[in-house]
Amino acid sequence: MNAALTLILHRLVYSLGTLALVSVIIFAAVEVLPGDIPSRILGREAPLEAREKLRVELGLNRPAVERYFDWAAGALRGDFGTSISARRPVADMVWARLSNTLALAGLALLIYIPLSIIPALVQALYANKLPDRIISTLTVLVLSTPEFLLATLLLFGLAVALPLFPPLAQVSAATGPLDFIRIITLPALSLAILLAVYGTRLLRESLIELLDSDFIRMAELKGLPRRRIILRHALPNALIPWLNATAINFAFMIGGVVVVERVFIFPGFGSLLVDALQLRDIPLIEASVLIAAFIFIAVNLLADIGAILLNPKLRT
Amino acid sequence: MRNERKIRALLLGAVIFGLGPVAAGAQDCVKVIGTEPGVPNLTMDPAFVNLADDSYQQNAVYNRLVNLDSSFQPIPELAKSWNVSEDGLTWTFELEEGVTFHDGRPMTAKDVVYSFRRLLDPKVGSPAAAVLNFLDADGITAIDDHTVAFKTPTVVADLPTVLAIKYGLVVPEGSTSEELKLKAVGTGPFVQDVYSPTETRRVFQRNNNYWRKGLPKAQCLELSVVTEEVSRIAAIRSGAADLILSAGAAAAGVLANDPTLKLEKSAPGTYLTLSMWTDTPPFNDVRVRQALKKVVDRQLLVDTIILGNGVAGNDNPVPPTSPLAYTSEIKPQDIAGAKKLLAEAGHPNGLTIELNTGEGYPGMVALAQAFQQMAAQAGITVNVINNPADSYWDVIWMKKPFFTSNWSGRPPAEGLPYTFTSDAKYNEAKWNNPEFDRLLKEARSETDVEKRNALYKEAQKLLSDDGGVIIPYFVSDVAVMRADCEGYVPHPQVPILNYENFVCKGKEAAQ
Repeated sequence: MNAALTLILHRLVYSLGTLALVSVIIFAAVEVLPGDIPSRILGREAPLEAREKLRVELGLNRPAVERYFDWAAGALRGDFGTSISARRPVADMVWARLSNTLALAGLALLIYIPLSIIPALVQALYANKLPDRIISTLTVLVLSTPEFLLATLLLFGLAVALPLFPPLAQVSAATGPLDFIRIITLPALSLAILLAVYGTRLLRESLIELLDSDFIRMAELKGLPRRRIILRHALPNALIPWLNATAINFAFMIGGVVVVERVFIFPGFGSLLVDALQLRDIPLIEASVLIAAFIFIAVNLLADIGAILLNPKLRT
Repeated sequence: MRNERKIRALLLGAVIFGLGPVAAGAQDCVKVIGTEPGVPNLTMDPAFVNLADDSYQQNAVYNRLVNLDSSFQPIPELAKSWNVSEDGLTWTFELEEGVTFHDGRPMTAKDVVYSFRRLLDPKVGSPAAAVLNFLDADGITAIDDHTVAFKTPTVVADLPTVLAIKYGLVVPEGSTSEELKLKAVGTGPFVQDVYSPTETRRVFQRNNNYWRKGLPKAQCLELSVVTEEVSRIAAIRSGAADLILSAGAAAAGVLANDPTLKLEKSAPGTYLTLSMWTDTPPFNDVRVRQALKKVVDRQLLVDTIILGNGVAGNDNPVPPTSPLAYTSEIKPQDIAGAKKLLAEAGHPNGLTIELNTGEGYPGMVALAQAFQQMAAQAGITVNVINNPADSYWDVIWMKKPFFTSNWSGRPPAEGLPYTFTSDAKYNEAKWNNPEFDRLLKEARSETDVEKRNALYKEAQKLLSDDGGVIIPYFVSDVAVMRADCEGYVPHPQVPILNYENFVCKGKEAAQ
């Protein structure tokens, strides 16, 4: 366990360094993007004087380095500053959207786990037989469907043709928990399907590879039933790479699901980031990207810990 | 017994959860969806209306002093009547009585005076100041509680029309920009209920003390913006939305055949432009400008780019269908004429030009590409540069010698000086024509309507022949509503919306 602890500490220090570097890169990248922040916020018909006034108000006339250190000092104190477009504390804005997205990702993950494990098990049990072929065809089909199209097909299938779910996933602070789950089911399902196909393919490969290995042959010679072999001996080992893939997928759900959010107009974290980028709202972009990076790193760390716990060599 | 009830409740819950409609809080609102998002910097302050999204919401909670009908003629709103003095310098507006703000304060002349003075105040910094630069803040005065006078330094013959601009909504005296940004206090048909500048879903409740008796017809109004066309179609088809304020041309085509829906078209308003700098070669030669205008097949653009939802244009901001247009004839495509003009201008072997565009407004890229094809027929090579949409308006627009743009429909009195006079702030073509300037100045101070319209027509013709802006077509807005709804008509001027009569079955006002 000590080895694991050292590893975790190592990873933590390394992660903090990464975050600091990311913050500098983001700040510099936004600085060199073309476009003028005041005219973006006030619109194309705003008078020059008003734009200049806003520039001074937002401190945009100060050198970039100075602004970066101001921001970074605030961030270290836990104060991410004020959004320059909405003129509200960044923390409030990000938190509201992030909690929505986490709820969405959580539900998607719940659907994703059985959706990716069960088909892979079926495929491994019936390798190269009809069920395996059918599932393989389906996964390839979904893999080659663009996110936008899949979300749209689900939208028309389960909200318009069969009106089971609302087509617009508009949640707000006033939405009750039951309604909330109903409203976000469609986007969560889209996400789960999109990501499950990767998990299924990966898991099928590693299961089939493992079933060919010596220790499984040994178990077979001992006369253990095939099902028990797969569930007890092959699956836990095969889940290690699957867990890593799942972690990356989950992190991707936090920041990279803008397409799904747009189709269902779900007020999530991804859309907030896109809006912030369009408005060149530096404090908002910085906070959002840092949080996304932090989640990415944290989730990977958790996956590593999970892998350590699943690994029979490290189990004590 | 008690257990049975529990089981029944559970079963009922399961049914509602699985199949029932989503309960939208306590009551069912009319659900309206728009297309142009303003999140995360929406504002409820009329002085800073920026994107269409701001207008979607502000029209629910505020009133104008004067409004415009679909042919841009001024109609009464908070001002029930108006007249102008002999010398044309003083306009007097009689206000409706018994109008109250949402906080209970009575609306008086003082509030109207404050609202317009605030727009002109350089400390406030509203974009409206540039549009209303012919007004004198000190000349706006309250004669009594229900009479407002606008005394202008020079004659402004179309003053009531110009006061209907998107910023001209009446706010209570003393309200500041900081307050109004988050909390609208208006006299309008609906009262702000659920609102945040960073969230697209907004809820407005019926103003039960609305000064127009019996209106609004709906109990509450829920507004959101959906940027994806497929999501808008899904929403209206499934009944999650009752009204799409402005559906794209393609969506209108798809939804027109659906028996559960109704379409309402506006008069043509918004137009796209191809603007060239008239002080820069080769566009400084009027023959080149005219050649570029001659290559355009206007009707073909209407049929292909906007699928017939609009009318062809004549390179000036007044649609040929308007009674105020200088002609109802559409300029025909004339490739031979274009070639001849180019040869005369010293380009017998054709011409190569660069056209900058970007999807800063829907349809601009398609227009640029279509223009490229049409110009090729006359030996003109147009290199189309497609720029990123998100920075189009501050990086490309008015900064390149030949670019695409778009403008909301405006009455001639406002539209002609807004982007075409030599001192116009948005003189996209850098066009300097003293004759045109003189005609507009004369028209602005001409109090005889017939003579004034004649001057505007003359100015349009001059602009159409000599100007540096191609205006190939005007777009009609298409609103789509469910068949059991009624009472919404889209306006050709995007920032004007009226929800007063909009209602759907089962969502009527409780009273």
